[in-house]
Amino acid sequence: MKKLFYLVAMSMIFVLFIAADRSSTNPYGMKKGTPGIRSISALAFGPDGILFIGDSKSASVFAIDTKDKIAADKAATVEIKNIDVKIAAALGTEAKNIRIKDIAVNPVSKKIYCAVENMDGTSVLLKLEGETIQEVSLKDIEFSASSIANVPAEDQKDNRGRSLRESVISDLSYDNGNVMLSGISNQEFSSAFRVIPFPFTDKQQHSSLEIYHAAHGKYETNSPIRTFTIATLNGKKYLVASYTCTPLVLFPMDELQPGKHVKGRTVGEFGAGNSPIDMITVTSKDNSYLMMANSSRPVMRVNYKKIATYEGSLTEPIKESFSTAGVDFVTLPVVSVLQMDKLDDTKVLILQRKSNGDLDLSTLTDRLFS
Amino acid sequence: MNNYRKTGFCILCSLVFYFTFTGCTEKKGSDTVSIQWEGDKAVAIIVPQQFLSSVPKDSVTELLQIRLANADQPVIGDYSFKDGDIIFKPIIAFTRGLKYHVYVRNNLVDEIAIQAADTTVPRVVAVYPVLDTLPENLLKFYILFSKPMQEGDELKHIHLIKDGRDTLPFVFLDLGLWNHERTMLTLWLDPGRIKRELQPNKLLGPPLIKGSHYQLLIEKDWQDAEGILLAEDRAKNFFASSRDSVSPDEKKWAINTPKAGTKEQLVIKFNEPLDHVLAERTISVTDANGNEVKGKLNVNEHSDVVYFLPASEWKREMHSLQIESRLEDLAGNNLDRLFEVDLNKKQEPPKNIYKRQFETR
Repeated sequence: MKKLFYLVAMSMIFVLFIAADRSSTNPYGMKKGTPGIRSISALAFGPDGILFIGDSKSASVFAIDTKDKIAADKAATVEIKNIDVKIAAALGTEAKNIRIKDIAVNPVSKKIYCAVENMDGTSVLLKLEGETIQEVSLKDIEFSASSIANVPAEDQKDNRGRSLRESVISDLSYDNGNVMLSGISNQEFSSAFRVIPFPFTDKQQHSSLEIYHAAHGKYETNSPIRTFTIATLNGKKYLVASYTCTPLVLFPMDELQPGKHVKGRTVGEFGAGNSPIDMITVTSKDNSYLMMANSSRPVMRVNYKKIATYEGSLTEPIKESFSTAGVDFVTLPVVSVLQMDKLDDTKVLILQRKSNGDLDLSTLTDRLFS
Repeated sequence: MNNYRKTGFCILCSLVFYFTFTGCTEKKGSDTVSIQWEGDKAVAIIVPQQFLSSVPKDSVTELLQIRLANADQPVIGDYSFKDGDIIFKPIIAFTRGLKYHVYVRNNLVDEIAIQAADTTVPRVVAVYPVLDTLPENLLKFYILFSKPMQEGDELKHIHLIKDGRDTLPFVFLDLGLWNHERTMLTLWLDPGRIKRELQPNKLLGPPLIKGSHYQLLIEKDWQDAEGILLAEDRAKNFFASSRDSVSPDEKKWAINTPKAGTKEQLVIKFNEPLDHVLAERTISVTDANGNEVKGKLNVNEHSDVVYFLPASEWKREMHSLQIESRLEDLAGNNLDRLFEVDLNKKQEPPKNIYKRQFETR
C-alpha cells in the first residue's frame, strides 16, 4: 500500500511538472532570455499582452511577453499631472533630462506602458499602476525578435558593410497577425514601410508603398510615412497613413503583398505648416473615427464614413471643390498632444503639453468622438 | 579652476555626509556609501552593511530607499548583496551633478553627490551644405555637433531668417532625426512646401525663394546630453539660387585615375555639389573581380569632390566605381529619380547601383 501511495504521489508530481512545463510554453515561438534592446523608439501591443518594441538603434522589432493578461473591460480615467516630473523622480533624475518616446495601452489589462529615454540615450520601459511607476524588466523574459536592417540588393553584396543605413522607426502597429512599421531615414528622402508576420519567421514581407498626390495628378513615391493606423471601411481593412509632407493616404491592407507596389489614395491634405505626430482609430457606437495629433494644429477627428464615401472617386485628380481640404474633418478643442492611444472603447489617453509648460497624461472621453 | 581647487572639488563631491540614526538602527560604522562607476556613468551605489544592521535581509528592498534629494518617491532599481553590503543599481545611471539621499526605515541616513560631468562645452562643428549659394529647392541641412546633444524640441533652437528681417515660420519638419550618437541632426525643409501644388506649397509657398538672402541661426540655448549649453550661436548665411531639377549624373563626373603599384588617391569630381553625408556612404570601389577595394573615403567641405585612399597599392586592371542610387543632390534628386516625379513622363526603371569603370594608369 505504501508502495502504491508512493507511485501515485510520484505520478502526480510528474503530471504537475508536465503541466508546469506546458504553462511556460509560449505559443508565439518566444524564448527566455535578455533581448539586446538598445533603444525604444515605438511601442504597440499585440495579442495576449505581447508588446512590440521598435528599436531604431539595433534596427529590430522585439516582441516581449509582458505576462500582463488579466482582462479589464474598462479603464479608469487617467489624470496624472506633471507625468514627466513623476517619471523623472522615479528614475532619479530631473524632467528636463528625460523624454517620453511613446505610450501604449495594453488592450487586455488597460494598463499604460511608457517608453522613456534618458539624456544619455538609455531607454527604459515603465508601467503605470494608477500613479505608481514600475519598471518593466527586459531581463530574463520571453521574447522574439525580427531584424529590419536593410537587406542590400543582390548586386550590393560586396558592399554590405556600407549599405547599413540609419533610420528612425516613426510608428509601429499590430493588426491581425502582422506587425507594421514605418521608418524615416536620417539621410535620403525615402519610404520604408514593412509588414512583418507575427509570430516572427525568417521570411519578411516588405511592401513598398506608392502615394498618389491627387492634388496635382502626379504619382509620387518614396515619401516617408510619419504615422499610421488601421481602419475598416466598407468591410475592408485599410492602412491609413500620414506623411511628412502632410497628405492622408489610404492603402488596402490586402494589397500589401511582398514586392508589390501599392498605390495609395490621397483623401486629404490637412497640414500646411504642420506635421502629423500620432494617429489612432476609435470606434464609438456605430461610428468609427480617425484621431490625429499634430505638431502645430489641434487634434483632428475624421469620421471614417466620410472617407468611405470617397471610395472609387479619388483615383482621378481631386476636383477644385476638394482641393482645399480633401475629406471633411473636425478640429477638436485639444491642442499640443504629443502621444495618443486608445484606453478603452470610450476613452483615449493623451500625453499633452499644457500652456503653462506642464506635461500631463489625461483622458479624452467619447464626448469628443461620438 | 586650478589643480588644488579641482582636487578639493573632487574630494568634496565624493564626501559622504552622515546623519544620526533616529530609528532603531545601531551606531553607524566607519564605512561610507560609495559610488560604483562604469566609464563616466555612476551606475550603482554600495551601502555598507553597518547602515542596515537592524534591517532583516528580506526587507532591504522595502526599508532601504534611495531618493533624489528633496524628492518624495524612491528611485526604481535593483538590489543585490555582495559580502554583506547592498548594491543598489538604478535603472538609469545616477545623473551627474545631482545629489541623492539614502533612507533606512524612512530616516535620512546619508547624502551622496554625483560628481558633475565633463564640462567641455559643446559646439556646432559643421553645417552642411557649407556653400553660400544653395538651390531654392534645397531639401535638408545637416548640423554636426562636437558632443552628443539632448533630443527633443530641436526647432526651438533653430531659426531661418530671410533678408535679415523676417524669421520664417513652419519651414522645417519637426522630426528630430539624429544619428545614433546624437551628434548629427538632419533638418528637413518641409517637403510639402517644396513640392509644387501640394497644399502647404500653395498656402505658404516654398521655404526658400530664389534671389533672397537667408540666415540659418542655431541658438546657444541648446543642451547637450550632459545638460551643458552650446558655447555660442552659430549662423550660416546663404543666398538662394535657381531650382535644381536635374538628377545627379555619374557619367559627368571627372575621375582622376591613380597609378598602378602606388597608393595614390583616386579623385572623383562631381559636376555639382551633392549631399555630403550620402556621398560619404554611397560610393565604393571594386576591382576587376568585383571585390571591394578597401580604403578610406573622404568628401571635401564643398561636397563636390571625393577622395579615395586605398589601403594597399592599386592593381593594374579595370576598376569600378559603385554608386548607390540613393545618392542625392542638394534638392533631394537622386540617381534614380527626381524629388518631384512627374509620372506623365516615362520613368526609367530603378537601378539601385550605378557604375563607372576606370583603369589604373
